[in-house]
Amino acid sequence: MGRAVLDMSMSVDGFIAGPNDGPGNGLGDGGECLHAWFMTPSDPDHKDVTERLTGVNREVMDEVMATGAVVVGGRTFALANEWGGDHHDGVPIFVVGRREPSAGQWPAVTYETDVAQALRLAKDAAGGKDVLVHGARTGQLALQKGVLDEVHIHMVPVLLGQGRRLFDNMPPDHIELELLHAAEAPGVLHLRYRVRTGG
Amino acid sequence: MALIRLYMTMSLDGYVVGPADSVGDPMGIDGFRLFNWLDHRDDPGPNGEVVSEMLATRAMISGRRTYEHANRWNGDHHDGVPVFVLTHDPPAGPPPGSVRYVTDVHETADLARRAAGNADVMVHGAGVAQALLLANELDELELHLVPVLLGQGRRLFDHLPEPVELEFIRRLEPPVTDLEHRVTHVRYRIHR
Repeated sequence: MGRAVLDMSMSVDGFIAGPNDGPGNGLGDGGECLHAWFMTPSDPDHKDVTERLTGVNREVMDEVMATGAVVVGGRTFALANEWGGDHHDGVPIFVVGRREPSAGQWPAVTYETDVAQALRLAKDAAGGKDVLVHGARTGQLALQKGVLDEVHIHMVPVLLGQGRRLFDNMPPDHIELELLHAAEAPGVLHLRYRVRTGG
Repeated sequence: MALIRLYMTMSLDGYVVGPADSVGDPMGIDGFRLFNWLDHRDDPGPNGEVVSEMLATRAMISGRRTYEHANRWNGDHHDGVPVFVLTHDPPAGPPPGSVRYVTDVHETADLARRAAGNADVMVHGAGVAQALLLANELDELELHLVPVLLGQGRRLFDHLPEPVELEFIRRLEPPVTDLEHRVTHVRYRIHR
């Protein structure tokens, strides 16, 4: 069975988007720097991302693109323009939340309101590969329910100051992690943690 | 010129103390989890290296809350080096030992740099770190990143008005086998 891996780019002060994030401004004001390590302005959909990257950043992105299913929060999914219905290689996408009437009709996309159930379905669908988890709120819910196996943080050397945090409004229970791997690369420090406790 | 470097232990979710901290409970509820790694502070290798660099600083800047919560270090943080406590409201009575109270952030930085001479200045405290950062007086961050999500507490960086660009300097990983005592030391230079 594959692992459920929350994968997010985060500033040193814990933000995954700047302030005023919304449609057309998915990373918020000043938040583009968080994705600069893998994205260029000429490739907004980052469909060619793995071909362009080299070294450690390439290895990290290859791993993301080798996942067998995606679980994403409804908000992140909408802000990413639903990835045109295909995050990578047509793998199944499970959106946590209810389908908005305006949402696209994509064969690979399933809506599921319960995060634990979404992860169960995604793990089954991933065929032994890992499941990519995206979105702050979805990550928080999965951590609180104890259904997340790993957290991969791409720590970007900036203090963003304001915006949307990856870890926020969490209960005061400690969640213990184990650093499995760390690697520096241009513009980012990759930190891979295993979740030791949860729920 | 002496560098002013913040030394702080922080959880992966950005907290430096747990919730409901006070003088009687300086690390907040269960916040002492963050300091487990200090049991290995004298180990040879990265922990010992980072701590000896900190103790080689020749001046210290502290915030008022940190100063009071640490029992004023009985007037001596290390080796009797000057300790400059930035506070809006200096306590009555003379400060203990090598402590001096300063109300202006630039004056604090200036005094500490002069006192440190060819060595560096260490900083403790989230509030004073943000004040120095906003005043363009902070040069480096040495973060002791603890692999735990504390969930709630007091954050090291909260509501900075605008982004601050950093430059990654180094990462040190102590070879501690006990999972409860692990830490990652990460150093950044602050671009201004």
